[in-house]
Amino acid sequence: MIYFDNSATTLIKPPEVAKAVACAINNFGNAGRSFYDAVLLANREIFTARAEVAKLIGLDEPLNVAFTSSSTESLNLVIGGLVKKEDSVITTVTEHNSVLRPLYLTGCDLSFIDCGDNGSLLLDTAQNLIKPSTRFLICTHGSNVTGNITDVQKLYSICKANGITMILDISQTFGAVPVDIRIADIFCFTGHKGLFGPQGTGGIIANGKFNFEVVKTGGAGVNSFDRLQSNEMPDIFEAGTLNSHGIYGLQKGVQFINETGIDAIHAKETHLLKLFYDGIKDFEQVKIYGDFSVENRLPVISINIEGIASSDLAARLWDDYGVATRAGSHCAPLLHKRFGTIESGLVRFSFSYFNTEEEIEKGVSAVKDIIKSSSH
Amino acid sequence: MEYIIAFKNTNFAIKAERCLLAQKLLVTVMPLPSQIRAGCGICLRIPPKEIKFARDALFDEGINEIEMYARAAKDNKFIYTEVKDGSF
Repeated sequence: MIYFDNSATTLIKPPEVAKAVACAINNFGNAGRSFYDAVLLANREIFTARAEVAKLIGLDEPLNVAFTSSSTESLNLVIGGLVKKEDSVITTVTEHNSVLRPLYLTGCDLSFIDCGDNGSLLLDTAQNLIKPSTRFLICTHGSNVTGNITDVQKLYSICKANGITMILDISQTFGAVPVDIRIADIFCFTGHKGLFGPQGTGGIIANGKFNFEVVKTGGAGVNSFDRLQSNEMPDIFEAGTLNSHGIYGLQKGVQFINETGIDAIHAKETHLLKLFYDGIKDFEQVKIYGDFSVENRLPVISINIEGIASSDLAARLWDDYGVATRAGSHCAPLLHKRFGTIESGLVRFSFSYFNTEEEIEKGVSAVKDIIKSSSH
Repeated sequence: MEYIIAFKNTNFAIKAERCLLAQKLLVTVMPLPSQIRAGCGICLRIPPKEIKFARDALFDEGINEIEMYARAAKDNKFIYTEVKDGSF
């Protein structure tokens, strides 16, 4: 198999990740629930995982990293814990349903930053969307469809000037490109994509103190006689037994990134993307979605081939060439609406640090073969 | 006699343990004595000669919300006396 579905999940991980999960399953007690060695081992490794995540984003306080089961859970907890029905919120048409659906659920007033034909957000319109009741701006750092990276510093400047809290979805970017704690207020991440952790891991990073309402509550191992869960980071988001097995695996994934260097990872992935892009861009039957005029982007490329449904293209890539991609709408309904691809969908190729030039060449060759055979 | 440091939650206790071990102080984890009503179920045990260094190291690390107790055995049980204002 040639695995080009890394935006869905990274399949090839550093070997230390699986070893850590196996070790944890056999050795970890329930973190925070007692004091003997197995419990403390879990506690200590979870803390180290927080420290590794903090290091990657440039955060001083590891306890401002809370662990969840996924980016979706993180976004639900943050949005549910902050956004009120009477608030106005600015978001974008490039968002994943993990942002959109929790926002819809609050009943808040929503405004959307639109994008151009290549999926680049029209950031100059953000200022005009601000209302007196606007309290939050929630957006993706990098599109899971186009791979375009949002100029969040520009948005954050607008937010800070207007007293708006900025929540950033870094599901696609964390571990793939440099993400700095200074570019937003709150970050929601997943563990199993660019961070190379196991599925079932994710988290929330707070750049400061926020007045979160408790939306998930239960056993926490502390203050058992209080009626409510602590509202401090990270406890406020960590009711119930943590996935310490997965978090230990995530720790090793993030450690790999910290040791390898995020710039080196980004450079290799960008190189692989460029190889693929250069290999297919000149075929008139291929339509590519996204802004490829900039170097700073995710290793993601979504395409359609004239006359072939995206589902058929993905099926042929898999059946005839063993190339794993993702066809369809990628949980990004507004962007597909903007592109006019609701019916056709797109086929997404997403690369990782562990892909090789040889795999890219085989992928390009497969696309070329399919174009040729469909032209006859 | 020895000293006990209690915390508002387990995360701070683990952070504190990590900080004190990095300072090569003799720290061990034990369950929070039922006589002490801090938020966290575990606490740190420190020898008398190291308690002042431990407190200073924690403060330097920004771990300020702590409670400290002297732990002494008397009549086959332990007596805990809160230590305030650094009067070790």
